[in-house]
Amino acid sequence: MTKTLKILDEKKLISVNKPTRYTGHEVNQIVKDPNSVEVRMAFAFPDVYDIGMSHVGSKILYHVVNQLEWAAMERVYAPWPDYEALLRREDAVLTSLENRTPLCEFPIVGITLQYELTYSNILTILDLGRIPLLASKRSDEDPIVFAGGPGAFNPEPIADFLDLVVLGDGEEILPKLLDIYRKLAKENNGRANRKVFLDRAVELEGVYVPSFYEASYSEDGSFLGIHPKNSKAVMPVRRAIVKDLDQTAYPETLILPYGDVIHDRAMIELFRGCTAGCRFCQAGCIYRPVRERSLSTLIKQAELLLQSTGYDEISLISLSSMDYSQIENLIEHLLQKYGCQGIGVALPSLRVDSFSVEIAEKVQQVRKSGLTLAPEAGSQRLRDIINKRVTEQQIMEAVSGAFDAGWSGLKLYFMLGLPGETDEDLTEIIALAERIAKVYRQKKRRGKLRISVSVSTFVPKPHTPFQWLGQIPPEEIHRKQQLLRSLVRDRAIELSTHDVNTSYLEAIFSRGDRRLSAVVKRAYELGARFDGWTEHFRFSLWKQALEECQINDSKYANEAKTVTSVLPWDHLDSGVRKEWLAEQWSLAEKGIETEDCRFGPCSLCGVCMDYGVRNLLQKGDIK
Amino acid sequence: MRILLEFTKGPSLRWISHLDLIKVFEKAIRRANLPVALSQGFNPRPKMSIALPLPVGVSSDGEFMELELAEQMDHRELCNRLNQQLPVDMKIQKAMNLSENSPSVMSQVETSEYRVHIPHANRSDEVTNAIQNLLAKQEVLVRFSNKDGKIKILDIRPGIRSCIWCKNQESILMEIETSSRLFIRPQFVLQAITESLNQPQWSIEEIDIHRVKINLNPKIQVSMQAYSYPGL
Repeated sequence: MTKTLKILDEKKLISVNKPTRYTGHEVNQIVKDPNSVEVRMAFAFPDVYDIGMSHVGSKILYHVVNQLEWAAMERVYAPWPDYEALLRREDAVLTSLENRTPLCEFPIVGITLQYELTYSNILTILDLGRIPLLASKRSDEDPIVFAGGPGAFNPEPIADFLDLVVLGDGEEILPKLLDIYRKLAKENNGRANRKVFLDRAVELEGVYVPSFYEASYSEDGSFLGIHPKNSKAVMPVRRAIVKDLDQTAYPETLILPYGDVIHDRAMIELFRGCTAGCRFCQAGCIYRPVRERSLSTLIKQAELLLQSTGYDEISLISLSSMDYSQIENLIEHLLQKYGCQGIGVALPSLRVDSFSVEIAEKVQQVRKSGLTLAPEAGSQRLRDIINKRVTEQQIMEAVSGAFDAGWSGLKLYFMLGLPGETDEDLTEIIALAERIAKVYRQKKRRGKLRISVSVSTFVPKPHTPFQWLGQIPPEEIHRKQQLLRSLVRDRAIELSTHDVNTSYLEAIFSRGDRRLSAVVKRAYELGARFDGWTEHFRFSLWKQALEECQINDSKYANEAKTVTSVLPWDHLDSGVRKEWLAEQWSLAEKGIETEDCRFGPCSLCGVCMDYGVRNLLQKGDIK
Repeated sequence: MRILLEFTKGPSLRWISHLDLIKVFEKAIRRANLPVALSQGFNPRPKMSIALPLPVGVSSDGEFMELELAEQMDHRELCNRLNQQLPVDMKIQKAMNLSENSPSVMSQVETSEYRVHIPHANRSDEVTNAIQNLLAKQEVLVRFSNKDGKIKILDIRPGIRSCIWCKNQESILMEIETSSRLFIRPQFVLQAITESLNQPQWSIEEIDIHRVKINLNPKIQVSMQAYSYPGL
């Protein structure tokens, strides 16, 4: 290896926006001497630093790996276009923040897949890090590229760029993978042999090696299925699950970013998984079952984090924090202990009921915040279809409580393009907002009312009961958005909708197959970057790439499949059984609800039986 | 209880903006568990102010900050506790009491001394001449655009207290006025020098600007028993 790599002279940063995105040196970062460890891994977040530094999963993995004496994890984020331009102008390599090591010098580079529209950024990172984009072109001198995160449950559209994919919870399996690597590297006196490593790694439950499989297609271009290419390739690939979250490691401190990041506060993860059973929700399927941390663990973690960071706010993270068994006790404890120090508690997700609003009211006595509720659909009929088990009465009680508590502004989240949706359902979104406005006005409060109604576009996701559906066509999205806009009369209601092309591209990649890797590569070459950012998103580049690769994009985005169709992610097991998803889909068609198995009967999704796990709720008394 | 702190901001931290630096202090103060006085209002913050914002990209050996404590605290302990919490490359080097009726430290800034490192400046004599020419003038007009993008013209000559080329440091050393009456940036002086050199300006990406110290009005009421942090 005789590549000469130029590392950017820091002085050049004077010309970029927010230079502290690229300099590291933050309080609490972990810098290990490269010579003192046996394996080094770079963790790449394919979005800008401000987003990546707000992501809890990365913080957990950073802690877990750096806790190991023999391993080190360093961070890298997608360079914002101004920094990318600078690196290219200077012919400099993308480096990690901690030791400013060129990415290609790490034996392992891990990428988290949080959102389909970060895929072009993955290629920016690999390219500027001097790593061959295609896994098939990498030699033993090049890094082995891992991926994980929710996107791992259908990584097919980027399969060509990945050597290894981890399905499920990363904190227990990642150290095992690194351990396999270090033993092989030791035997080899340098880097491990890529092939040998992948052969060993794939024996772990939760590991998927895309190159061990191959896809086939019919002459008319339909996807026929994925087949193992060698004896190591298991079918299906099972998911890694942490059985008892309370026993796993959680960061004792957090890196403190200098600039503004999205969530700049301490965060504790109350539980993982959600069994509420909303039928559109991927997280509600792929993270099952519910695994709660104990109250005493959370209290201890909160204390450690607040002490070591100096943050004045702590956020209670999970998919639905109000459902945590000890939520009242936890909040009471935190407010009592930290409220007098001016430390606030933040609740990222509220349930739509009066209980949640009462809790939110308690919390905001320390630190004021906005109130966001997500009824998801305007009509009861549609809410029954998507299994969002919220009644109009609950919504009204919640908002009434919120107004009594002093809020005069509300944010409401809805979706359009849901299965079975009619124009009447959309009318109901605005009508619901108007009824809420009426509740406020009857109270004759003085503050000016503001109801912001955010309507996103439904994207069918793999491993959900709606995975067989297509997205409604772009023209139809346009029409529905227009319809909504025409219905808004009340000046207190502020409607916002999502960009049509963004949602369309999301749908293509969400349910896509391996043939899309070529599209991602082509779009990247054409200049696609930060596609999730309106100011950078250029749909024309994607359109061109799709055409050049002869991809029938509307087939990918809009075509409905039947329950018997073979799907590009069928070989990946999320834990929930396909029969259960199909049953949920048929219940949805009939508008029949399914209860949350935390509080009602088991609905036989299969994860507990197939993985030997169960909902772990901290119902006992507090110590 | 008003305390005046002198601190450094090393080269690795020069990219932290002024507003972000305040957040660094707020968190460090919280971690150090210092008995600071808090501002009133919904989100109380430690009562502190930095004498003179340091521009992004500039490091410093002598910044000043005023901090209000709710109760008395030993200066040595204060420095120790805070220094343990500050980023590497940032240190409180001195702590002194500020009398209660002293005006704010912000209002007492007079001049700042800078060291501008210009590597490979092999035309030493030329630079020396340019500086001498500059100092010989009665008036040195500099054009610059302000925050709103408006072009302004400023006579910087009255604000240049000293300016020399230091050959063995490859640097221009200057003391310039940075008060509320006349605020001069080191870049203005550089601009004037390069203009008289009759050749393109040094690229901003090549030079290193370092603030050596800030000079406060000597009448500022500081107690005599200043505590200096050892090992600096």
